[in-house]
Amino acid sequence: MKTMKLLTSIVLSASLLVLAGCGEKFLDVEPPTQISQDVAFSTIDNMFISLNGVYAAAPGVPITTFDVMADNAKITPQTLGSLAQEYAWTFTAGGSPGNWGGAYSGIANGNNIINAIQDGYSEGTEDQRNQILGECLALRAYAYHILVRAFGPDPALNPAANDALGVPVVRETRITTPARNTVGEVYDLIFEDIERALTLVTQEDRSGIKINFGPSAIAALGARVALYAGRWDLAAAYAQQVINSGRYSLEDSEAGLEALFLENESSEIIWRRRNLTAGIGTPLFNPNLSIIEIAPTADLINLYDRGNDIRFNAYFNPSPFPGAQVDFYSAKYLGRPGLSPGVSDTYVFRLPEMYLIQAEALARLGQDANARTALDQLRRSRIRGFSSGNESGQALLRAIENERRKELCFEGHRWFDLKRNGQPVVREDCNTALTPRCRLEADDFRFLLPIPQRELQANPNIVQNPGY
Amino acid sequence: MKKQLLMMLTLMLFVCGNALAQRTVTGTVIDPDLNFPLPGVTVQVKGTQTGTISDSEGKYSIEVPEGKNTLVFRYVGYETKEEAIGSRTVIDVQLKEKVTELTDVIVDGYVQKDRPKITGSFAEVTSKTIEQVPIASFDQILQGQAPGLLATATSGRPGAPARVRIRGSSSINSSNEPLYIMDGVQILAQDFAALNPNDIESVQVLKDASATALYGSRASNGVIVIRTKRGQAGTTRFGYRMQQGWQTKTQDRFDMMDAREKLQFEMDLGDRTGAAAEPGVVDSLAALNTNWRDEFFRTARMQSHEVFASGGDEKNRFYISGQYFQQEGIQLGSQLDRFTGRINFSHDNGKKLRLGINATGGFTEDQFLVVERGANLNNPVTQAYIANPYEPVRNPETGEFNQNLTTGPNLIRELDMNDDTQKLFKVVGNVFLEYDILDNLTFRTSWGIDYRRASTARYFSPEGYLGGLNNPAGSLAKSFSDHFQYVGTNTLTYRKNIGTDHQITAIAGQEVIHRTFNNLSASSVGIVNPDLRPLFSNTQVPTDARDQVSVGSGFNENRLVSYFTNVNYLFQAKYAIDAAVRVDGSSRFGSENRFGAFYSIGGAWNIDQEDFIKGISFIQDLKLRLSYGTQGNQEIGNYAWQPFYGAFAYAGDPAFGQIQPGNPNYRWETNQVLNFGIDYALLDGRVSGTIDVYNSRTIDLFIATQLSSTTGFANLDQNVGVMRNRGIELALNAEIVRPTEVGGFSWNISGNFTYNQNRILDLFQEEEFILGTSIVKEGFPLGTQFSVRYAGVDPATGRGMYYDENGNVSMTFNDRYQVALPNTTWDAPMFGGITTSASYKGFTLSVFGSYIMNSFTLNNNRFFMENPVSFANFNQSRRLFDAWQQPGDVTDVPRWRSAENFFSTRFIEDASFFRLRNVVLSYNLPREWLESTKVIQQAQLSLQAQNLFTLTRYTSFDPEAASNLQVFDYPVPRVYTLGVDITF
Repeated sequence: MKTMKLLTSIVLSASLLVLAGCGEKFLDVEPPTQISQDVAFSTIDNMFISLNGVYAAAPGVPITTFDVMADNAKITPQTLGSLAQEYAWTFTAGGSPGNWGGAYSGIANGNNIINAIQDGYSEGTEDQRNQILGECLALRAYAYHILVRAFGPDPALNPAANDALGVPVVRETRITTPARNTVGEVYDLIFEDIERALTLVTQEDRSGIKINFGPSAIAALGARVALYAGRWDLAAAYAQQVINSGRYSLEDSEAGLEALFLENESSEIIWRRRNLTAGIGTPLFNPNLSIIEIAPTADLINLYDRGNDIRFNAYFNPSPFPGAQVDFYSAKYLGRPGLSPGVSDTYVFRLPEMYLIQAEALARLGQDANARTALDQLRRSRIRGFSSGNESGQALLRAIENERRKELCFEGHRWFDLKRNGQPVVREDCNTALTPRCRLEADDFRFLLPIPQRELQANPNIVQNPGY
Repeated sequence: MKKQLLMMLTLMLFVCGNALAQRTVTGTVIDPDLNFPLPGVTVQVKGTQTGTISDSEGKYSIEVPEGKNTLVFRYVGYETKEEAIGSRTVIDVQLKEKVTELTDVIVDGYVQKDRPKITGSFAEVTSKTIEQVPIASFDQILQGQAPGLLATATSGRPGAPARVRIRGSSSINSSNEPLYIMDGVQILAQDFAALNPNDIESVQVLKDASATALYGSRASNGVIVIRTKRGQAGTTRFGYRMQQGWQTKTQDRFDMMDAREKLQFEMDLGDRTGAAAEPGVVDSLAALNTNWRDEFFRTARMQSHEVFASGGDEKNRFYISGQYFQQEGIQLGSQLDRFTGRINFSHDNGKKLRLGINATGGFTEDQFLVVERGANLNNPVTQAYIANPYEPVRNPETGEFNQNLTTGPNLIRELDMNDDTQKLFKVVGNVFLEYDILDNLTFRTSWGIDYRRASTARYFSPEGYLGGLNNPAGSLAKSFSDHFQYVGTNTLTYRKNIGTDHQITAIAGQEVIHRTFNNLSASSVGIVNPDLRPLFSNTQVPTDARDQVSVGSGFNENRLVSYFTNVNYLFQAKYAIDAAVRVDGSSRFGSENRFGAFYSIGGAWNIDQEDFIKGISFIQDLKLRLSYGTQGNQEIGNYAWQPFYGAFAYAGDPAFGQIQPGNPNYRWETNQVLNFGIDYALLDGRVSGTIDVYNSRTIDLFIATQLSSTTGFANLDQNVGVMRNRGIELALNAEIVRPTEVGGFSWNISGNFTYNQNRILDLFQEEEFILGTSIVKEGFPLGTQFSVRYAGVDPATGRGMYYDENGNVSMTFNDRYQVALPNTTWDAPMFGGITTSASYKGFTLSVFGSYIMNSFTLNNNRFFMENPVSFANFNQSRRLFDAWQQPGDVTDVPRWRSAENFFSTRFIEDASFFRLRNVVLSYNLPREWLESTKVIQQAQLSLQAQNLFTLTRYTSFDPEAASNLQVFDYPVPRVYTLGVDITF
């Protein structure tokens, strides 16, 4: 009996101890394939990996949407249905063409690193921390510019736009429902970030494949943003900084331009989005299905001097598919050899844009001669036998716009260029079977894209753009 | 020796009882139906702890203390009987087999309580029901057997688990599977096929909050408590049970075209010239007339052999069993082989200590079809219906397999050369120790495991069509996974009777559960030689395939720490009150809400114990129950609450990015359940049953709410939303003829009915979520079909007509016309079962049918089989001959060239059914015959048929649905079995 009692007390106390020892700690489990933010930032090496995650989350280049919404591209009868609402300007808040969620996802990842470093992160060297912080600031500026130019009006030719609604400025990751800041406030943050980034970032091309922000890429971003903001001096200066860096040079041969888009190798590339898997180019040319869904308009094609402009053969090929009912297709994203069709990098900044920005900004400042010099430099590299256009005044501005259109088609610019300059969309070559309208007036509400429906549902503080 | 033991037991009990003058009573206990002595019957002096057990010849002897005058006889599966002793010293007793099959003691897994103390809603299924039905997965046997429990066969594949719902679905985004507990161990709600159903003694279905109280945090979908067989003291009994069966496919409720019809159809349609180009070809093709159903489905064998031994003495008891079960599937290529063993052993040191082990191990080998279910041309069931009848399985001249059909690969050939197997090793068991610290206070500790190891291999021959899709041809994929869970439970149980008026049962306990899952998988393509199946061997994988190997692994875990208590008080055997609290800490929930508390309170009034009822001769049992309490659901991802980063790649380099915002407030989904019940037995117990009415509100539903994208996240898992289930459950049992009345003939009928109404009351930010062809919408039940309403065929044009969103008939179809269809849910709101059995002189015929009502399923098969527009090159249903042909024709099948064929209510059908699940004719050999053998104590022969017929309007092969739409599911077979059951 005594042994029994002893046994009992042993068993009892043992099992009580087992359970008492469990407690809260016992209930802490760690997911094996995920990590906490603390671990993701724990060493400087991990911080660089997390920085790579910010690049991954940063908004990409929409290569067709903003050409389809404008006048550079049309939908062919071979369409599988994509971008139908964009082409017909019938998009709604339920399917907004703007990259709202994607841009903020990048911003949030960047904010986490920015705040960690500003709050006294001590791993690595100061140079490393500065580099990471600067790149994140540049990425944030880039993402906010993607947002503000899509959802708010542009101050370029309309300073009142600065007081209009832009997008919410979020500087830290928190579960909140912020209201929209003004366009001016968004640009203030963008310029602040760019200026700080330029003081922090020292390495030009950390990766060696131009996928990271270095001082030149940040200046390129500054040039573009300044152009949208109407800060012409700044735009011209940033563009000059990139051109003067000596790191980049214009292609002046057809082979060079072809390699730029086919092999994704060129001295023109300033900052690119790397793509190893997604067949982004297939709507423009799909050899597997023998279709072309989205094709350049005759309006665009007819702008080129076919005999002399090296871009014509580099950017366009004759269509082999009669069903598409077009003569040419865009050859910009055929896909790198060895990868699936349409798997191609995209370019956020190429050197030609810097010449175009510089020209436009100087022309706006009335410095026509300097503006023409910049424009002619680009034209001479692109058009065989070209020396100078000799334009000035409005003609010069039109020439810059034309050159921009020819140079940067299918790189996500056209819609925003028209919007920035307050111009309507006018389609001559228009597939009326797929759109009721072929013209969108400059004051049409659709130039401000709708805030996505799900944001309105989740965030009561958001005011929708008018018309939707 | 035996007598000594009995003496010791008697003495021991006597020590615990009171030492007054005594007398000895002896006697024999027999089963009057079988005229057979019953060993192992518990004989107890009422109102004392004094008891004994009848020996192998049914004989007992017991010392009765002074002042006590009643003996109670209890035996599992038999009616309890009380005998007043009076002046008798020899009392022979006849115990009748229980027709209601309810035991007097409810074991909820933690504590056992006599029926009068029960305040919750329980239903029970006993071994008798389970042993009758040779089905690999025991959950399928529960169909129609318990009110409130809806079990649906999800597939006719051998070993396929059922879909089980208790009182409807309580969750939208989490699991609705009940919690399964076997001998105190939580087991996975799957792979029941690795357990031997015949080892089960009873299955308790715990429904309301009072019944599930001690499982609180995991009980929102009800609890199924499985108790396995224990040894009976007395002479060791040996048993052999054999079942041999044949399975066939049930009759379809539609016909496919034969070869000539299909060819004529194609010619009439006119857009297909390949097969039927010339009249001469038509005749030779028509002559082939392959019936692909006959080729894919077979008469399949099944067999089961089982031995068991049960016995012991007052100290040690054991139950040992072993079984081999083999079932071919009616679908070519599917098969289940199972080996199981069990040992249940317990020891009672005769003083205060008891300990034991209950353990089972099962090994199964499953042959799967490579693809099961779905409109996939690699699904054999799909090909059985839509392969063209004018194409042969084998070339009629050479006898070689026809490699490819116009409708895809020849799967008869593919099934022959490819393999998809799973080997599963499963162990479930626990060891326990009980010690009586005081007379009234017992400590129990139990430690159990649920272990499952699965290895799978999927092989595609390089010579097959499917294997040929790999470059280079052929592939092999293998995986190992390992699931381990332990459960440790410590309880203190206190039982105290104060006088005869007060009975207290109280329990307090702690529990800890830790579950881990590990897996490793690898695959490679390129098989050089079908006889050699290497994964990574450099010598046998072709050079160009050496980089096409992939390896993966996974791990996850979760833990639960719990504290619980339950107090039950019964006053004068009339009034019971039962209160329970369980507090759980779960690793799945947020740091702010890691612990959740669940409680219940219940009361019962045993009216039959009241004096004013005792005089009423036709009332034997009458009890009212009322309970209220909460039940939780924690079936979410193991890391769902945590904020975290994930690893991926950008530009070929590793990258970290935030994935999940985390919700430190994430907590349990909670059911608030109110239950009212009546238990009754009237007319000398001829009519008995239960009635339960309940209202269950699930609050804090797990819903992925939308976040402002400015947070960087799209969704946040939150506890919002409300859903309700309310219903009524009826169970009725009637003994129409008792054996003593009409010369040994007996007949009874029992049935149950459940009505459960589900309503989604609140979905937080949105009013509805569309899930393909079904919709989750406020004000509608879960499982509501979402479709365009079909308005029939326009007699003038033969085109389908549809109702638009305003209810007007439209000649064109538009997705916008989709509406949530009221009262059209596939999750049946009404269901039940009915059983009748009659016995005469050892013969017993029992017939069991189950039914569901008001279930609506999208018959997706018809979309493919009645679709001359898109699927004319596949075989089609003869229903197309009813199609509109000329103006004025009135039909619901549109014209062939209608150029439209859309998902609409045209394909949503009433899948209500009554199914004759089981008919058993059994014969117990007369005892006189067996006596001469001196060895065999009991022998039973039985003939059985499962799924004999189904009454339904549903026009596919089977109205039982595993989801809101049916797409070439594996049909449930009809089974005939012959059984022999012998006890030595």
